[in-house]
Amino acid sequence: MASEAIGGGAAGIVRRVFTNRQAVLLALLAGLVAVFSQTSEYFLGADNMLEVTVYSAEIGFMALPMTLILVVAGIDLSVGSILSLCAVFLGIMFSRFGVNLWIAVLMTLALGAVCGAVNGLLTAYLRLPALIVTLATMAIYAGLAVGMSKAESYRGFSDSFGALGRGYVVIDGGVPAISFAGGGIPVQLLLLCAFSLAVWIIFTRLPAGRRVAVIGSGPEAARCCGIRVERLLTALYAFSGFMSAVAAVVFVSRVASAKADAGTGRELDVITAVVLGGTSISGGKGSVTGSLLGLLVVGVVQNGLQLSGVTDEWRTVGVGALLIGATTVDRMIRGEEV
Amino acid sequence: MNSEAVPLLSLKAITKRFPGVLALDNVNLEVRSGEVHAIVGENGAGKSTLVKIIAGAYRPDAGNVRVAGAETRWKHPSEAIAGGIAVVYQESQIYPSLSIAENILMGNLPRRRGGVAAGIGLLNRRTANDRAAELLLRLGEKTPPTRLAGGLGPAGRQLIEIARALSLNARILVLDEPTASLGAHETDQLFAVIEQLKRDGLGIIFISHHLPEIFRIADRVSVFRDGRSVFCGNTRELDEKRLVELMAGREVTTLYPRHRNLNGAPGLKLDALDVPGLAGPVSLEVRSGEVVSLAGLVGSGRSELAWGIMGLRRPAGGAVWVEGRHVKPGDPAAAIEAGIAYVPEDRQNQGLAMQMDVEENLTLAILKSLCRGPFLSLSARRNRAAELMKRFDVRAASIKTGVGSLSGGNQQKVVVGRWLAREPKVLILDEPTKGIDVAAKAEIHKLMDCLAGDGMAVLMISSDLPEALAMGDRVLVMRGGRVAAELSHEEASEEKTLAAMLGVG
Amino acid sequence: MSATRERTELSEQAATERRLMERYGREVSLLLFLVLLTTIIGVRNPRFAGAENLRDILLNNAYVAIMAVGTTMIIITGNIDISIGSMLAACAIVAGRSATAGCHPAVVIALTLGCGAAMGAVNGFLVTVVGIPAIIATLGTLSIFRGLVIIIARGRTIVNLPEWFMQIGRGDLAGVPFPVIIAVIVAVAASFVMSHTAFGREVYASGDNKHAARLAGVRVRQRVFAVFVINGLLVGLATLCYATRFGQIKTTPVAGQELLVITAVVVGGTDIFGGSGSILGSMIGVLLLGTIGTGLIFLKVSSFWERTAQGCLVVGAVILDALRRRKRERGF
Repeated sequence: MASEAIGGGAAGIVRRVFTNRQAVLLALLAGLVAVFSQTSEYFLGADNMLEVTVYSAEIGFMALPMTLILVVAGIDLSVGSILSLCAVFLGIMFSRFGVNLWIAVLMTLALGAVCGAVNGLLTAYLRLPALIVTLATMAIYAGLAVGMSKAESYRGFSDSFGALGRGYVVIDGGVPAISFAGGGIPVQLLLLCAFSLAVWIIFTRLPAGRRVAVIGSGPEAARCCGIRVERLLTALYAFSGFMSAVAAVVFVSRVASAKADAGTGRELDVITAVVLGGTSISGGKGSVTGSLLGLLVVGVVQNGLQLSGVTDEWRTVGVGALLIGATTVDRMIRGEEV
Repeated sequence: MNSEAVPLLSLKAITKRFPGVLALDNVNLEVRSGEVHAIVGENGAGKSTLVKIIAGAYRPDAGNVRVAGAETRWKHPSEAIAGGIAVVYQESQIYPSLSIAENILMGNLPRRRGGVAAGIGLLNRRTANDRAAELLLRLGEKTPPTRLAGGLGPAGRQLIEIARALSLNARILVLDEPTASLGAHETDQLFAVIEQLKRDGLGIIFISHHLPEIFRIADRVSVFRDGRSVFCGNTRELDEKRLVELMAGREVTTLYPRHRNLNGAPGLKLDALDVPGLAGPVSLEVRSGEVVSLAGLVGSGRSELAWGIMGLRRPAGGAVWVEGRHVKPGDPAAAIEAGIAYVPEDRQNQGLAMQMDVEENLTLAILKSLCRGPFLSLSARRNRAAELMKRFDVRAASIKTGVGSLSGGNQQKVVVGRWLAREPKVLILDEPTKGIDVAAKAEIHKLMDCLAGDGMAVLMISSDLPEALAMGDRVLVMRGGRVAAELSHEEASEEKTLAAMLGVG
Repeated sequence: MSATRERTELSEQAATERRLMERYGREVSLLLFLVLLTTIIGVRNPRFAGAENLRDILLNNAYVAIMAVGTTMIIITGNIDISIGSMLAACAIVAGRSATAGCHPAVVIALTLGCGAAMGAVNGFLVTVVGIPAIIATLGTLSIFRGLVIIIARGRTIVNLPEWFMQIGRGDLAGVPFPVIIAVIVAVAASFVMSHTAFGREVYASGDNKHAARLAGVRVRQRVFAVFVINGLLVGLATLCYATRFGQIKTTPVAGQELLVITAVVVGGTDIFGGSGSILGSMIGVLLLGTIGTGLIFLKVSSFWERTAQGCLVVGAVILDALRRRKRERGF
């Protein structure tokens, strides 16, 4: 094997490295960092680096299950709407009904899982196309969010709750503490890391995760292997809903208000990050690390352009161009027939 | 004759490579005007790739294709069609939501003439329907061409393919397994059409696994093996035995091993199992240590029965027992838990997770036993996969090789290995040796014999009659969705079994 | 063999009887549902079924209908275009800017349609030549077009539109508004092309079975590319019916229009995997969604619930489809 690599020479190594989507992303990331460090003096600062992650954490929560859903050749367009609905639900429970905040959070997480499970039941057991089901539930959940809140926003969340979305963990005299002034590691980032690790372990080291991969690689083969495909798919969509609820809670904590447009359009950001990370939209192939890299690239582009004084709109264009560019390069390298 | 000098179609030194596979290796082929040139070879010998090259769907990596002496460089099938090539593909390619007429004439739909109508490409439906009906009638079929093609059975779909090829008025007609789903009557009709086309001076390539058909219709025959054309000669100078030898690459003296110990208790018992798609409830028994062959024509319900046993198709009634224990119906996981293993016919879709590697495929059914606590032990999985790979002699570069790049025989060994790792009590094999080479075939037979000798109950579905008869301690024959006959190993002659399969005598 | 023959002949009879229902079942049942809905709401509030209101519903949904024609064709090829909302906004700027700049009406119309067709061509290029899955390609162009729109227009509303321009959206012929007439013409023409020309049938074939179509000599990529361009052209046309209605053009893209259109098409019975569907069905789908939207207002239900109702409609439609399919499968 070793002699082969040497025999292949530099070109062979380059090709081998670059067939790997994650290597392309790393190279891209390095390039972006190099460029932005020139255009903005703040960019390379530690605070800003952490800021990038805060920017993408809420998308990241949803990107984790989305990766697995794309692996099984599904899609979940309703994640943004579930986020909205859960945010509104949390606001209503807390502000209107005066439920204890942390109990309201638990109820919100449960609601997210139920919303996701509905998607799962419809796709898995009725064999309806996921694109259609989640397109419909996207409208339903967003509609419920608007309808329940009458487009009002809910406020009055306690400071301690704000720690989830705005807090930093700082080491204060040897004891970890929560600060709102920065200078530490954002709580959001810690949450994202914890969830990422959990999903990575589930996907690569738990039988259930491997079964998900089998479904993506061949649903019929999975059934023949005794995998309870329907049950697993339902659980997967429920998990997606749950993570949208997590994103909702963090979002509400961050902005200290809950409104029905909280998640509007987020599904596209999520799918962009995941696809950028090399997960195939047609199923079978995907990785959690890839999605995190994709997420980071989107975050760096957004943040770097912002610091470089580029307007919001160009950032939108940039992310779109990035998605198409990365997919095109991928196609060309692998030389796949259409 | 002139046509002797310049063949209608000539392929010179064609080579085609796919990632990891050399599909065609320096292949030559000539078809003269007015001849039927048969191509035979085992599955995977490269016949279908050759067809796609002639059709312009693939471009060869090396070599050239000449039509009537002129070199061609087709980039799209439409160019091959314009060049006078018509192909009947093995897998019927139909558009289920379009009408039969549109299916037949797609790409060549009749348009109205003159003025604006022609300018916008307005269709002439009546002409289309008339022409389609006429083509179908030539094949002896009277189905109205306005019906949707999606409702047709396999024979109807096949006829659409053939009619489509005829509609092109081509000079060269390629028929890839055209009779696979046709009945005797339709086949006769097709052969009459072929004879007529031959007289009209067409060159015809005829691919079939059905050797009697070759001797009935073909003038010359080429034998393909492992991507090479190993023989080309006149059909008259051959007989079936010689042809089979050429296909197999050696003298065929297959030995089917049989070392059984036939006094086992019932391993698998079906009690009036009522599987949707079958004609009625089925009861049967396979004792431990016994190999039972399930013979029958394609579509006689054998695979459906296997799916019913496995729970892949939910039975409407009846029960499955494994070593006296009842199996929860309609749940593959329960069937596997009870000790049933199923090696499906459709390896690519049902057998393997095609985008995964050998390691994952081999260990799919035993994930639980490879866990430490809740977590999968990667080292345990690696060791177990390596061990299984060695035990079942899977030939792959490493356990990390993707199963997609393995040969059919090695893929089959991966599927079988996965199930045997669970040490099942009942093994159901659905066409276990279809499309795999002779050596791997013999290995699978030996393995089956060993397993039965060790007390496993084996139910084997096979369309390979010699295999079914030689391996089976009993032969069950299915016809029209029911078990039509049961023959002991001694009484199961080829004539008797065939008669039962066809329902004659 | 004779057994299978008998069975084909038997099923043939049943099939002929079922055929009409199978081909037009979706349209008929949707139409019945639409009539039922209109009647119910009309009984509760007679003004709903009045000519004035029905005319409004048609007028409000004319541009959606035109976009739905394009989307139907796209989905029939087995693709999808989620960038149409951004395209609509881009075309509106081109139309508004050129009109206020005093261009000749013909130039304005040509520029608007050309802008749509060009964006459609970009999508078509990415899908057929580069080979990016349509949902990814148009997800990317959705952002790009959207961003460019905001950059170019800087969020400013275009005012001082010429009278002739607004006449397109406000004028009528014998009481029927121009946009409605345009939508009807487009729908009829597209239906005709899809069912009576070689092009249309090849588009169906490309979506129904891409490989078979290629092997039959159909230039699948060219057909798909053409459909993307046509779709862009139709978005341009929809713009002319949409931007001309309100004296001014807001240049911030309205989110979610693509989803409304896709929803209407799916409710109308077009198979998301390609190969089957009808323009007529999509038109009824558009009307149904529009009627529900207006109907909620007449039923004094807050319009906040509109999207929920639309979503439920889609779920209901696809569940019915699934049940019908299951029943048919059991029939074999």
